[in-house]
Amino acid sequence: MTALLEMDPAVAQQVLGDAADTLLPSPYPSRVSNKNPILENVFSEARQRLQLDPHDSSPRAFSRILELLTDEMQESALSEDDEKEARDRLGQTGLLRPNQYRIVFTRAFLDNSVKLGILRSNAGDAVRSPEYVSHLGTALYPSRNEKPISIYARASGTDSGNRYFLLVVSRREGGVQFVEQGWRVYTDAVDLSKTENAMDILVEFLKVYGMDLALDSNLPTRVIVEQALQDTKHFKLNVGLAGETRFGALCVYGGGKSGGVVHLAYKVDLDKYINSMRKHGVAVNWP
Amino acid sequence: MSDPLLLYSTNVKLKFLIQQEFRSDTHFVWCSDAFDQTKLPGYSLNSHTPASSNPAEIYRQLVKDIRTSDKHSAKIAEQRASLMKRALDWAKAGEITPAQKSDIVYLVKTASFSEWQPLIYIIPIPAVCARLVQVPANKRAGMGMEYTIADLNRSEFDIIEV
Repeated sequence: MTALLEMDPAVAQQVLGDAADTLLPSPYPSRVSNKNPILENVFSEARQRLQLDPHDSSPRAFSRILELLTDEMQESALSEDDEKEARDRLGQTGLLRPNQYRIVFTRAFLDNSVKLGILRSNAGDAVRSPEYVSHLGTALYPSRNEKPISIYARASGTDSGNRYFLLVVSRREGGVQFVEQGWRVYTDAVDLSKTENAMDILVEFLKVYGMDLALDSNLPTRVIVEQALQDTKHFKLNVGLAGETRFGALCVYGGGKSGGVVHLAYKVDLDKYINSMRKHGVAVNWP
Repeated sequence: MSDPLLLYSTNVKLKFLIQQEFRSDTHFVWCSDAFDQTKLPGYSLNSHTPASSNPAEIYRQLVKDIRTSDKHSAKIAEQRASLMKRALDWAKAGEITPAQKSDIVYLVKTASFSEWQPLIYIIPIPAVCARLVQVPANKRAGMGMEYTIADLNRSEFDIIEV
């Protein structure tokens, strides 16, 4: 705003905020008077730019002025660099809207999940517009040293025998989601009656199609989530004998010198999964 | 009317998210002891509360503005301005970092209609009565009683979406 051009940006933001305050309902005594000459200039310029009559005191006029003041506050408080950094931070923490993430399909997804009958477009839809999302590691990763996991679930199919959730497992880095895997979770094969989020759906899916795995000397389980590691270099994930059966697995871990964590690990019985998909009419192109 | 047991407050989803993530899940609310004052008997003072302070009416207005994708919604404009102003104030007071201020500004700037979705907070009075602050009569939109709570913990209220 011309009236604020000469001001330090922080002061200009404060003036704009004070101007907005005079138009907002507030339970507190007002700290500013709209008789303040600087505010008078701000309001006068706002009315000129909005082509409002100087005496128009309608709710509509005040609302338009408020919109303009907010836009000005945003512009002043967020440079292009700030905006990019904020987007990355929020993305890393899982606070962006699903459709604000850029989607990248990993080699693992293209090599495996596509052959198992998951289309890229469907997986993309699940990330952009999911019914459920679970972001892991929202509090654990203030930095971009690791790619925390996000799990998305999107409903598909109409008739009862054909209804399923497309479960997509991805890893986020800033404002990008790297899609790693996709699984179909048919509602007639997996009990989803008590699930409340995407992680619950994954857990129920693994009760049916998962295989046991164990971390170090812990008891076998179907899924490991955010389990702390004492020794980041020598931990052992027991996934069963090689060649025992075909399986698809995911294990994401990380950490530093002071310890680490297995963020997510599971193992899917591929033969069982593929048979089930074929029964549901899914075109699987797995050797 | 017997002493009320509950307070009601209508807040947008983005405000909830921002207070959850950047204010340690401590929520500032403006609330009322009646959800819909228009349903109260005409002789009740609360029945004279105007739409702008009626939790049910605020809820209905926001839902309507979102359903019609009203880009010039007065209610949403108020919320945007209020959240922006709060972010500037918190940063100035050193209660959030400059990076957190940018994050909040970014969230407000890029918010879609779904983030202005209203949520109704249901607040049992016994746990908060010592922290209830009456809104001064000259700051209320009508004669009905209105309160603020500056430090409502997440465990002290339930949320419903109608």
